[in-house]
Formats: sequence, C-alpha cells, structure tokens
Amino acid sequence: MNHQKLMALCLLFFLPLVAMAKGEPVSYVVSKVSGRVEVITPEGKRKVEKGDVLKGDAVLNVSFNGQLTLLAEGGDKQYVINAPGKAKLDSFVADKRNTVLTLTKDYVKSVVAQLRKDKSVKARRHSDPATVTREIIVKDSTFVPEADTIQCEHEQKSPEQ
Amino acid sequence: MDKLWRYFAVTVLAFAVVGIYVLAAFNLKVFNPVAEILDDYSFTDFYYKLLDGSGERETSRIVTIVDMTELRKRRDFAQLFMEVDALHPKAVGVDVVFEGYKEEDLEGDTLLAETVQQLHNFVFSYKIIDSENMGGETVHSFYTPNDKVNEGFTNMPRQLYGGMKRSVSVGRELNGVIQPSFIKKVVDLYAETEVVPLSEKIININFSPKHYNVVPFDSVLEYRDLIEDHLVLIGAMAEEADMHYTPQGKIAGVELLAYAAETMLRQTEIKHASPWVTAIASFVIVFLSVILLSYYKRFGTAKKTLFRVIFSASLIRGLLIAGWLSLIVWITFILFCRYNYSISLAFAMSAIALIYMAENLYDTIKNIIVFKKENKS
Repeated sequence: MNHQKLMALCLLFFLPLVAMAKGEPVSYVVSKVSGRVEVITPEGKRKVEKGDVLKGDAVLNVSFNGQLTLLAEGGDKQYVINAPGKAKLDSFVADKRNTVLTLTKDYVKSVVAQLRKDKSVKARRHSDPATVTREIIVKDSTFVPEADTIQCEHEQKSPEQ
Repeated sequence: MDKLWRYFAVTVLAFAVVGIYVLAAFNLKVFNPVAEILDDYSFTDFYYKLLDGSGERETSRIVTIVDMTELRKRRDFAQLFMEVDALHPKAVGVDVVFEGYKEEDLEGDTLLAETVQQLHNFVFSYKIIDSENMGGETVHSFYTPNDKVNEGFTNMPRQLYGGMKRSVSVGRELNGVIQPSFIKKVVDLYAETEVVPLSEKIININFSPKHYNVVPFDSVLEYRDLIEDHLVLIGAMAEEADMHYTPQGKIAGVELLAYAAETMLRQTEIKHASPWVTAIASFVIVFLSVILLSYYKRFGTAKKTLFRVIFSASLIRGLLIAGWLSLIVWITFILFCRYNYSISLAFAMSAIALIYMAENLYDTIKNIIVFKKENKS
C-alpha cells in the first residue's frame, strides 16, 4: 500500500515536469513590422512580414530602428520589440525593456484569426449586452460583418490608439 | 499651523545636520578617505548591485567580444581580422593601437597594413594624450597616415586621479575640430545611420548587468552565429593594463566599450535628475517622513500597556524608518529600471535617519527661546 502511495506521489510530482519538458515552443503571430526585421532559416534570410507565425526558437535579426509587434498565440499578451540585435525570438521576448500589453484572450484570438485569414473566428460587432438585446428584439438579426468591417472594428479597439 | 511649522523646522534641521556632517567629511583631513568615497559615489551603483542580484544576466544580442589577450604577432592580427571579416559582422571595432613599426617583423607589419586597407566595416582606435604638457597630441597605429583607415579615439571621461568610468564621449574637440569617438563610429556603422549627432556630448553608460559572448581569437570560425550580423569588438579581456573600475567592478576596457555601444544603440542612457528636482524631491520626502514619524508617536500614548511599550521601543521606530526607506528606494529603483532615470536620494535618506536628532534639536532650541522670553518678562 505504501509502495503504491509513493508511486502515486512520484507520478503527481513528475507528470507536470514531463508535460512541461515536452511542451511545444510558444508561437507568435506578427501583427506589425517596421524597419528591417529578418528571420534566419537554414535556407537563408527572409524578411519578416505581417501575419507570419514565428516559433520561440526562430532566430531573428532586428536592425536599428526595426520594430516588431507580436501576439502570443493562445495567450493574452502583445509584445513590441524595438531593440536591435540577433538572437532567438524567445530572448527578444524575454527582454524586460519591451512594451508588453495584456489584452483579453478573445481579442488576441480574433486578431490572430484575422491575420491568418481564418474565418471560423469572428469578432463581435457590439458589446455583449447590446448583442443579446438585439437578438431578443429582432429574431432574424444574424448579421455577419464583412471582412472590411471587421478590420475597422479592430482598428477602433486597438489599444495602441 | 504650529504643527506644520514644527514639521518644516524639523525637516530643515535634519538637512542642516546632514550638511554639517558632509562639510566635516570634505574639510577635515581625518575624513579624507570618506570624502573620496562620497565624491565617487553614485546612487546608480546601488541599483546596479540590486539588478545584479535579481537574477540571471541578460546576454547581449548586439555585441560579441573577440578576446586577443594572448595574441602578439602582427601577422596573426591580420589573419584574425580577415577571419572576422569573412563571417560578415555588421561592424567591427578594434581596441588595439599598433604603435610604431616592429623591426624584427616588418613582414608582419606590411601584412597588417595591407589587410587593414581592405576592411571597410572596421573601426580602429587611437588615443588622445590627456596630460597638460602634451594635451591635444594623439597616438595612432603605424598604418594610420592612410586616409582609408576608419579611426576613433577611445579615451573615456573620468575623474583626474583614478575614479570610476561611468560615461562615454560622443565627440571631442581636437585642434579646433570635433572628432568622433571610437564608440560613435562603431555604433553608426552598425546602425547604418547616425545614432547620436556629432557633438562634445557625454553619455552616461547604462551598466545594467549584461553577459557578453566572448570568442577566443584562435577559434573565431567556429562561432559564425556570434559574429555574423553582430557588432564585434576585438580587445584584451585579461590584460591588467587595460582593466578599469566601473559600477560593475573591475572590467576589461573592451567590455567597458561594449556597455557603451549597447547604451548608445539601445538609447538607454542614464538621465540624472537635475539638482533642483533632487532638492525638491528630497525635501518633500523628508517632510513626509517627519509627519509620518510624528503620527507614529501617538501610539506611544496608547491605552493598552502592551501597545504602548511595543510601539515606544526604538527597535520598532527603527523598523518603521527602514520600511519607509525601502519604499522610497523601491520607487526610485522602478524609475531607474523602467525609464533609465536616476535621482540621488542619498541626502534625503541621511536626513531621514537623523530626524530623531533634529526633533530633539528643535525642542532644545524652542525651550531655550521660551526660557529667555520668560526671563525677560
């Protein structure tokens, strides 16, 4: 019995560690680029563009005056990297001097979906209570905003503005 | 109103007591060592110590150092420069002055001079002689008369006798013309633009603890990742003659240059608060401390004996002052880390420690005045 308890304890203790060790590197979606920012791949250097998905272990080369805005996939953080240098993306993200914004997970999810042109996730046009009220009053108000409208919506909501 | 006047007077007296101590330290010979320390002390040193103890050092993503301490022959230097250049660094700074020809190795000199002319993203160093008799004279490498060689001076501002190095020059007037420093030239080359306009400006280096990758001179080709697209500084990491005292302790000259380059490129220059801002902030902080301590004194008359005894103990008062000082330091530390803004509160903190003495002094002066008035009447 004691042996079983010990085993259970060991499993409880080690399982999270194993899960962490096997965890995939965090992915980031590029939401804005200014200046020269390159990603270094085995094939050579490639310019980073809006909508690119970068793994944490990707090697970046940020020039002086280069700036990169990233959204952590599945997270709620927006990172603005504006320090020059060449290193792994994780190293850039860990820099304490970065501007880091904490947003809502839903907002990040919808922006990421928009950047990846994924139409399965849609941004709400109104705030939650307003939407509910309209749904009750007008029964057939299944309004699906067009892509351009979503764009405007995000620009309005963007915390940078 | 009486209370406010008392707080104000105690604050002024606390500063006066500190002032007397400082004057004594600077004017009495017996305190000379203390004066030396105070003269060379900066509040930022304390912040750097805090930062150093707060976790792992961040590795620089900009600068890589190539250590050439053991390198002696000039032909080997030529070889090293070619190897570094072949790995496509963005900019290279060479913190070595090759003074005069070496008669026993003229072939090496020729090879070095020819190599140097082919290197377009290299900056070489020269020294300005700072002594009074030779002021304005410079010491260059033997290949310098050639105009193609990109050069900058590596002198760094410091106190006349010893002292810590905390700043870097952007430029310096030499024979009527402002000459760019070595660091300015290397940084501009890396950024492909002028980062700081050429002037006689002095920039306070940000010594927030950093780890610089150091590549040995004999295995440069194995470290392509650390050289390519980096700012490479070639210098001696273990040469006693080129070691300097900085807020990060005694470090190699080339590492000091690395901190300076990083400060300029990341624009993290330390901005010191002006004397007026420091004076006003210090006064406000001490004034608030006097009010805080006077309110605290009320606990000394609490009804419950236990509270009365505990709160009237000097230990508790000491702890309160320590907590208050920690809060002030924490706020200034955040200002420093987040905005590179340094405000020296050494005077204010000394005054806070002496508030108790100032209060006693105030009461004594007041009693004397009252006593004299009573005598007259």
